[in-house]
Parts: sequence; structure tokens; C-alpha cells
Amino acid sequence: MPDAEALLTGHGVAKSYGPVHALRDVDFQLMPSEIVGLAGDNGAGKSTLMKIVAGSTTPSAGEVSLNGREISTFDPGSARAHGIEMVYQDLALCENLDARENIFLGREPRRRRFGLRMIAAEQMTHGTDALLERLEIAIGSAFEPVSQLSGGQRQAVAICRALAFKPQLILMDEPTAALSVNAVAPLLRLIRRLPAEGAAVILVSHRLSDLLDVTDRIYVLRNGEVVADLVTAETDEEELLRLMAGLPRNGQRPRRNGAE
Amino acid sequence: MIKRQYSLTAERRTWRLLTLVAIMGVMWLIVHQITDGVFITPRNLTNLTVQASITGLVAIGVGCLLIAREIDLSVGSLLGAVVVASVWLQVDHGWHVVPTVALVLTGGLLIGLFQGLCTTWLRIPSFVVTLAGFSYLRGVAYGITGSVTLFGTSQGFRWFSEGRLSYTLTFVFVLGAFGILAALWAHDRWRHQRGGGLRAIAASVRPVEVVGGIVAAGACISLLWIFWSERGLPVPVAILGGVAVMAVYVLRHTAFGRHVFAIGGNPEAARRAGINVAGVILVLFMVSGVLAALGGVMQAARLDAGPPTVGLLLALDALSAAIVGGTYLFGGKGSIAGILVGTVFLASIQNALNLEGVATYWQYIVSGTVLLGAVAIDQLAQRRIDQEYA
Repeated sequence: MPDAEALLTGHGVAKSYGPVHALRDVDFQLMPSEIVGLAGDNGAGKSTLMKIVAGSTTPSAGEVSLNGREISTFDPGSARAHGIEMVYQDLALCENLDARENIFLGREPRRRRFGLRMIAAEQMTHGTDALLERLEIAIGSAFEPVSQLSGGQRQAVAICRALAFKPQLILMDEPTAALSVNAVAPLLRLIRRLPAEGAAVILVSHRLSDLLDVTDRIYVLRNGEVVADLVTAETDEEELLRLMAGLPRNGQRPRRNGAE
Repeated sequence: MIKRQYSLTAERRTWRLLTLVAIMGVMWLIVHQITDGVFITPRNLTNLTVQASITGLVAIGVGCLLIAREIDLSVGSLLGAVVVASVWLQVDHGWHVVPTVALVLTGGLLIGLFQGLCTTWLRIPSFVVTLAGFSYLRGVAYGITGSVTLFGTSQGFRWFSEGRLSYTLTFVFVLGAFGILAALWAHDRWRHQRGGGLRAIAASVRPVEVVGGIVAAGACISLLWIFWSERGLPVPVAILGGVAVMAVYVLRHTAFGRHVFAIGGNPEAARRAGINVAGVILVLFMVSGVLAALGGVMQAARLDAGPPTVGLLLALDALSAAIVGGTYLFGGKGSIAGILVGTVFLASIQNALNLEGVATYWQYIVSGTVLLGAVAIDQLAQRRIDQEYA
């Protein structure tokens, strides 16, 4: 049974691509305003799990519940309607559109004028303006195509898009992977502020220092299974690496958060 | 606070278009001199716009598909099939205008729907789907009458080519079309200035918008002069104008239009944003089919005959017009104004060469060279911009 207070729960979630088992019998739980990290080597199943929650792919088995209600339809539109947003590793921005158009893409504010339905472009401009100010993000121009922005600015646009419609949950897939060293710290500060904006976060990153820096808990995945559920304050990079690689330490079992 | 409420990239594209208009203006003056004052006359310019209206109509459909990263090579063959079918229905079967036009337009819509389904549902690249259409629709054009060219459409049908709007309607239509576009621009600007009044709007106007406004006003006055002197606005030009204004409204001012650009820029990102990518592409194919069929009706009325070879190179003309007008072949960029300017630009070259009695093969050589030149200049400009932002 899903925890009544949990924002997101998953039970026995599995995903197979033909003979390949990307996820096997995975259980997970996320509380409101919590930042949870997913750690694991390539092919561990982190991105697959994110895609299932984001509605980009359908699980082969198991159930996923949001606010105690099972999710039956897995598509990006439904996930967004449920308040689940994803910041993809490739950012999923339309390079030819400007920041405003990307932020409001698929959810453009509309109005009726002269008997015609049209986009309320100024609402997009003013909304973007307010969002950038609230998140203390500076970009060159919200009217320029995002292809003209730097990597960090593009990342900021992708995060703004995720935050624009007051989501309950933001999924972030390798948000720091394409950033310069200088751009990483502001982004991590921004992620830390997200719970105050009312959003829980699931963060996937190969940079374990990032996970240790901003998360409350970390799930470690290996070969499509969750092998540990750790409280971030009680773990370190060495333990994460050991669990990811499947190496035991002094015959101890991994520490777990809550009842096993 | 977003301080700069304009895009240098978009302005650069508008300057490019205005440069194309300027080049065309110079070309017109030179040709006018060479042809001993025949080119810039209401009669010749009316002919030119009527000739360009069919290509322009088809180019709008093809251009919108290009913006969404798709292509339609079958438009010429579809137009050919519609030309033959419309004449055949009237001559051999005695059909009246309305059912004939209704049937061929429905046919165009269904062909578009079929090609759209092949592209979105069967996931066959649109290049292949419409290349096949290019072939089998031409076969249909030949097959309907067994390669025989039928002659003689009804007078009502010829209205699609020879019809003229009255002077009053011409005045209302031309001013109305430009007025709607100006109103859409002013409304958007007024909302952006949070209702700051005329002073705020005037302060926000950019040099490119001033020049663009002057060119648009010049075009409006020129069109009024041309059609006032030539028995009123020809129906084909009125149809093109109406379709163009609708297309500008849809592409620039509706969510559907934004989604077309988004799909052209990054279809996967558009899908992840919850956009019904297949639905949008399906609609665009249907629009392209209907516009090609409407072009076919106009062409059949103009020829008053149904030769099955008509429109053989129309797809290439339409693609060239869209690309010369700044539509990006790989999606995400383009405008209706650009498509229209590209159409008139290429039609002007053809018209000038016709007036001078230059052989047809030279027309192909010149058109091809212009297309290559326009794309080459775009590539060089883009390379410079990329270096600027690198």
C-alpha cells in the first residue's frame, strides 16, 4: 500500500526492452518537498525510472502512485497535468524558439480577440520576466532563440519551464553534465531552493558530489534494481561508489532508511 | 526584468527579406528599362500576380510543411490530377461548378490526409510518401481521360481565373488585408507595453519595423494602383491574399502555429512538451493537399482545359519560392511574407525573361542559379552568426 503522506510511490516497477531488463521489481518513495538522488552506473536503470515517472515510457509491470492515486496513463502530457515536470539531460528545448516560447510550449496562455483565439504573448513575456526574477536567473534576452544562449542559460530556461506551472515534482536528469564548472554552483543553489517553491525533486547525476551536496536521500541502483536507500547526511562518496560497483565492505549489508 | 523586448536574430531575418525586396525593386527598374517601359505597367503586373498566385498558394502549403521539418513533393501531380478531373467532370459528365470544386477540394484534403497518415502513422519519411504521390498522382492525371486533353469549362468555373472583384471590393479587400496584419501587430505591441498608450508603442518601434512598415504600405498602395487600373482585383490574387492573411494569423498568433515551429525545431522536444506532433503534421498535409487542389481549380480555369502534363515542376517552383523567401529546408524557420516575396521574386524573373522572349531553358538556368545563390548567401551569413556566438 502506498504511504498516505508520500508524494510519489512505486511498487514492483519493472521495465523490459525485449530480452533486456532495464528495471526489475523496483520500490521507491518520495515525500513532498524532498530532494532524492538516484545514483548508479551507466545502464543501472536511473534514466528508465525517470522516464516512467515523467510519462515518457510505460512500465512493463508494477504500479506508480502520485498522492496515493495510481497513475494509469503514461504520457508526457498527463504527467505534466499531474504536476510532474522533467528537465531532460538534452534539455529538450526547441533551439529555434525563444526562452518564453520554450517555457510555455504546449501550455501557451490564450485569449479571444476580434472573435479569434490567439496566444497571449505578453502574458508569456511577463510570466517569464517574473519567473527569472523569482529564481534570480539572468539570461541575455528572452526574445532571442535559445540557440544563442550559453549552456548554463539554456539549462536555466529548461528549469524555468519545469517551474513555470507550480509543479509538485521535478525530475532532473544529469542537469550539470553539460555545464562549465562556474555554472554548476548556481544551478545547485537553485535546486536547493526548489522545495521552498513547493516542489519535490528527483535528481540523477553521475557527479556524486552534486548528489551529496543537495539531496536528502539517495537511492543506489545497480543492474536495474535498487540496492540501497541512504540518508545523504549519513553516507559518503566512497560508500556510494562501493554500492554502485557491488563491492561489499567488511561483510556489512548496506544501511537502509526506514523498515526493510 | 526582460529589458530587450526584441530579437536580433528575428530582425536579421526581416532585414534579409527586405534586402530581397530591394533587390527585386532594382531588378524591376532595370527590366522596365530593358523592356521599353512594359514591365512596370498595371497590365503586366496583374499578369505577373495572377501567374504567381497559383505557385504562391501551393508554396504556402509546402512552406508550412517545410517549417515543420516535412516536405511535399506531390503538389504538382495533385494539381495536375485536379486540373484534369475538374475539366473531365464538367465536359464529360456535365457537372456544375459547385459540386466540381467541392469534390476536387475534398479529394485534395483526402490525399493530404492519406499522405499525412503514411508519414505519421506508418512513419514513412514524407520525402518517400510524397515522391510516390508525385508519381501515382501524375498517373491518375493521365488515367482519368486516357491522356486526352479535354477543353471547355463553364463560365462560372472560369471565374476562378478571370473573375474580378468590383472596385469597392478591391479597395476593401486590399486595405482590409493589410489592415488586419497591422492590427495584429499593433495589438500585440500594445499588450506588451501593458497598455502604455501610443507613446509607449512608438518608443518600442525598431528601425526594421519602420522600414518593413514603409515597404508594406508601398506594397498596399502599389496593389491598389495596379488593380484599380486593371478592372479590379483578380480572383486568384484575392484567394491567395485571403489564404496568406489566414496563414499569417495561424502561424504567428495561435498556439497551433507555435507548435508548427516547435516541431520543426525539435520534434522530440515538442512531443515531450505534450504537443500532438502527429496531429499537427496531419493537419499540415491536409492543408497542403487542399491548397494544391485549389491551385488546380485556378489553373484549370485559367487554361480552360485539362492537359495531364500541367504542374510537372510545380513542387520545385513552390519549394524554390519558399527557400528563396527564407524558409529553412530543415525546419523551424520561415514566414508567409517570405514565401510570398520568394514567389513574386521568381515569378518576376520568369515574367521578365518571357517579355524579352528568352528561351525556356534559360528560365530554368536563371531560376536554379537564383535558388543556389540565395541558399549560399544564407549559409555564409549563418556561418558568420555562428562564429559570432561561438
